[in-house]
Amino acid sequence: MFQITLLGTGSPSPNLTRHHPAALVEWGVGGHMLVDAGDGVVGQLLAAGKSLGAIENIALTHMHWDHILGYPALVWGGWSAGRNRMDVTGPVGTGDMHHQLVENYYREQAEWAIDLGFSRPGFDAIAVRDVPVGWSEMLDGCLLEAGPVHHPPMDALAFKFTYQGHNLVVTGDTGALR
Amino acid sequence: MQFVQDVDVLVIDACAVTPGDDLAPARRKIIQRLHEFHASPQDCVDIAAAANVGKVVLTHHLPGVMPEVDASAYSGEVIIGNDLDVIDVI
Repeated sequence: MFQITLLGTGSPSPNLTRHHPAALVEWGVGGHMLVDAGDGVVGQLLAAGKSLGAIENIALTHMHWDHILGYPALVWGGWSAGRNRMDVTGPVGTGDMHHQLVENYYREQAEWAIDLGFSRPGFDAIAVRDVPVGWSEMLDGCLLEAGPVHHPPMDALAFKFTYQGHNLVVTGDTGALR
Repeated sequence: MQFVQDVDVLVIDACAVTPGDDLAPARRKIIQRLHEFHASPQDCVDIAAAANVGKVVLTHHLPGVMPEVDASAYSGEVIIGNDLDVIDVI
């Protein structure tokens, strides 16, 4: 199995039929990467029949608001659904986004939730890294690669997935590629 | 372009449509400027044709706008992506 589920096919203007950008790439047994996490991503994952607690890998194409507004909701939603770890990969600015939107603002509430009984790794074991164009890595038998796009003034990446000789690219936002 | 050469499926930003004449000037200006950092639906099909892409999936749509493309020079499949669509790569 190697497929992509489009969770949000819209743009920044809110509307009921097209949510902010997000898509779930899945391969093999349990191999997955959520690409972008716009507003509504938690509800759209549920609508697609996916388990929030099983989403452990996220790739963000860039930090524009329509691609990340759902990220804090997913941090909390997945945690409350039992997630114990998460890896987040994106361009320059990804770690800073996590630090500002999640760690800085929600740390106090997270400690309260942990005291209440939430598992500590669900909030603490979130590894966030900024990667450049040309980055690549194997994940559950799938080759992941970061490629160039044109989306000034943002640092932005496309992601390529190669599994069993077939491949998929999700560009995120980009002007016409040259 | 090399990054997408010969891929089976390309999911790509097709946000930069041509603004309709009925739009308010301020909105029209914003949509015209989208071309500086988003591809148009036709750009996406042209990229797919030039890069020998198997299927091109257009996304990042503006509300109430249906992208229109001329795909006569492209032998692959053009999909206008909608929320909750599932596209098989294998």
